Amino acid sequence: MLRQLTLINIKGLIGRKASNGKKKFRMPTWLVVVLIGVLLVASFFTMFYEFAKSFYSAAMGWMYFSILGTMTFGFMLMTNIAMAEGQLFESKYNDMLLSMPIKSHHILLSRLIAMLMYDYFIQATMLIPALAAWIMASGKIGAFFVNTLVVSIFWPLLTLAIGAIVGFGLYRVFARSTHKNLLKIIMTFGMIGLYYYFTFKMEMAMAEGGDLAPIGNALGKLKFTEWYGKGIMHTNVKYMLLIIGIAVASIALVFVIVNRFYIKAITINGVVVAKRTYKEKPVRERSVMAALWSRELKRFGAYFTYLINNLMGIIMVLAFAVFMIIKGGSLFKELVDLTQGERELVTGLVAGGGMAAGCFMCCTFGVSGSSISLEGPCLDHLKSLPIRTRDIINSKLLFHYSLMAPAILILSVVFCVVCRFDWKLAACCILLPQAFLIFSDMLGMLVGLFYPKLNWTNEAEVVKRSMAVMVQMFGSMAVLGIGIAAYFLFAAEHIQMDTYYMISTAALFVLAAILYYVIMHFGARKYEKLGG
Amino acid sequence: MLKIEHLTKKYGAKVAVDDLSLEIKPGEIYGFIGHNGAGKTTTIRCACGLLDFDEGEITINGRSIREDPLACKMDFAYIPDNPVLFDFLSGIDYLNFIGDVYKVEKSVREERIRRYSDTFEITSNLAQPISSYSHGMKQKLAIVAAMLHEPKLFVLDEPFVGLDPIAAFQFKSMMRELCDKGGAVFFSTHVLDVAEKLCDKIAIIKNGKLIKAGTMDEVKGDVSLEETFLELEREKDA
Repeated sequence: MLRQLTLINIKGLIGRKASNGKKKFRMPTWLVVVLIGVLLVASFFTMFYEFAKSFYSAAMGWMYFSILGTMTFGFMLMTNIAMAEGQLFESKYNDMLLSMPIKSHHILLSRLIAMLMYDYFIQATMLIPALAAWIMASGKIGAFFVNTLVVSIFWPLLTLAIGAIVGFGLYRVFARSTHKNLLKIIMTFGMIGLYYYFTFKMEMAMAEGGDLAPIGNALGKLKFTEWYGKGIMHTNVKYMLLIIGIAVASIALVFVIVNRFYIKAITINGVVVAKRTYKEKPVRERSVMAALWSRELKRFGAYFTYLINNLMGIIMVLAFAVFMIIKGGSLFKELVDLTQGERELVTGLVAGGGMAAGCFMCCTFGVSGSSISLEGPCLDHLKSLPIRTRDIINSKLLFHYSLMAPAILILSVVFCVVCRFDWKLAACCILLPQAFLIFSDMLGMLVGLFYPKLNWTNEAEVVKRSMAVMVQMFGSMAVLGIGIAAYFLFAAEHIQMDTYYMISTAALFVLAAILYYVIMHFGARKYEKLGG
Repeated sequence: MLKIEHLTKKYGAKVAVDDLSLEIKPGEIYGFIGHNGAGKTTTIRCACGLLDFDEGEITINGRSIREDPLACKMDFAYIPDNPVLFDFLSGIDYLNFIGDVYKVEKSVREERIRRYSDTFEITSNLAQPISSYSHGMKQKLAIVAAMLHEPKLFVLDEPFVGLDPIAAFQFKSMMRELCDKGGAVFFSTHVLDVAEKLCDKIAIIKNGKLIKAGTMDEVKGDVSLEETFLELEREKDA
């Protein structure tokens, strides 16, 4: 029974469902997992290789492994805290499982094992590039390799233990709060902020002449990670046994504590939900479009994964704008000095860089790509209402645009002011990213209409893993990449930068218009056939 | 009011509804009964414009659901068997959304929300997200939303599932009142007792085909509706 429960939980985490019989291309699960793993490994390798070179040359290998331990600990802990509520306590299958002759500790244990498998996957995405980077930097495979593998078997038990207890606490707090998503956002951004602060400090320390002593001091204060680093690098058996012992004892203790209260915890959810008091307010009549837009906004705020995935892009754009306000002027001046006064060239390149950054953030914004799919369970209800298909589609397109456009506009205006663009470059800097945003919006909607994923149970399946969102992201990036490459490969010698930007802006508007035509004619018909 | 003529709907090789014809006139409560998978929900979904159909015609107040779906949808309210509402909205946000879609004026909207929410005792829950509602509460909210624009035609798929006895009684009273004022109700149900007491006319469907339709007396005669239904099921099997 435990084995079956564990397998079900792991399948639930991966989010795979049985085929509905329709003949469609379906990527095998193992391939999806491998692809995601490869992407993550590749992205971590560059960072770890820079660290490895610095720490190897300073003969401070234990610090390198301490950093690895800290990072894997941090990522796994963040994931466990985020998952614990839904995975351990809030499952919709609780009542069904408890009504069957299944021991409650088997339910808990199977869920913890599923989370542990997930932790091993996350750990591996950092462990593999970290080990490869150290082997490349040091030129040899030593005892550290085996030591890392041994410790990494037990390291996730500690994060799982802490994550489970913290997750339980948060579950009780969130249940009593009417601002659950707001609290989750604050927590998420707090954790992300810590991560970026940590890696920024690391990179600054290594950039400033390689003085790694402060890093060593900081790591020394975190005993656990110091033991991790020294245990692995120096084959310090005492430290390794301490880590293993504490990790095993922690998870065992947490299991005993949580199991003691588990049945009560997973069956009182409905009782402790926070209640809002209804007060009659004057009704405001709205147009159908305004009502639809407002509905989109409510959904945006209600689905946490949908919210955080897309809000991140908006905040990154605004953070970049703030950075430009603070540092932009001085950086621009340094660039001009570096190029020995080639102000016009620098201005053109900086404008291009700013526009590219804005466009890149548009690529990561997947609201329209997921919008049709998110209707999934209530699509029939929406279609039963007297609302024109074009109004539904337009409201979704407008919603996507209206969320991101102000942030992109702010970034563009900041660039124009800080770098003192002339009117032509300023117009391009403002219009090109807007055109790109509209194009990306259309692309996501078009793919979402033709390849919707309507049978989801968790919005993460749509927001993170649906074809429409993937095509919107990578398709937009491809167009951005082609635009940049085309300039440097073909156009740079023939036309001026600002002329190229104007042509690109016009081309993007035309492309968006074509996509809009296709959406309104063919996409609308596709929508009307959905759900049948 | 609602006219279904020679409706045929196929899912691949399977014929879900086969040459079905029904007419629901003003003033009638029309029941629609059949076994699981008989084609009741498919018929209802075709009538509401949710499913395209292969043959036949469906008109609401003389307008074709295929050619003028928007105008048709303004004239009726549909409540499915499992009301999947917009879970991310609160009850009152949902009602206001429906009010905006059906262009219910502010002056009447407030009064109707108050009246129907009080009738079904969901007023105190209107600020809660729909995701926290029980099945019965969602059903009640769907009924309140359907009543908001006071349509002349109700199309309901198993409307009494999940309703408590008081709410079920009140809803039945409202249905009767609506029909007495010239409206009509077309609903499917498995609860034959309710159909027998409430309906003016009844249609029985089996394996996509209409096997009997007419007034309650014409269909069941002196025996109960349950006996009639079971007898018809056995006859067709034989």
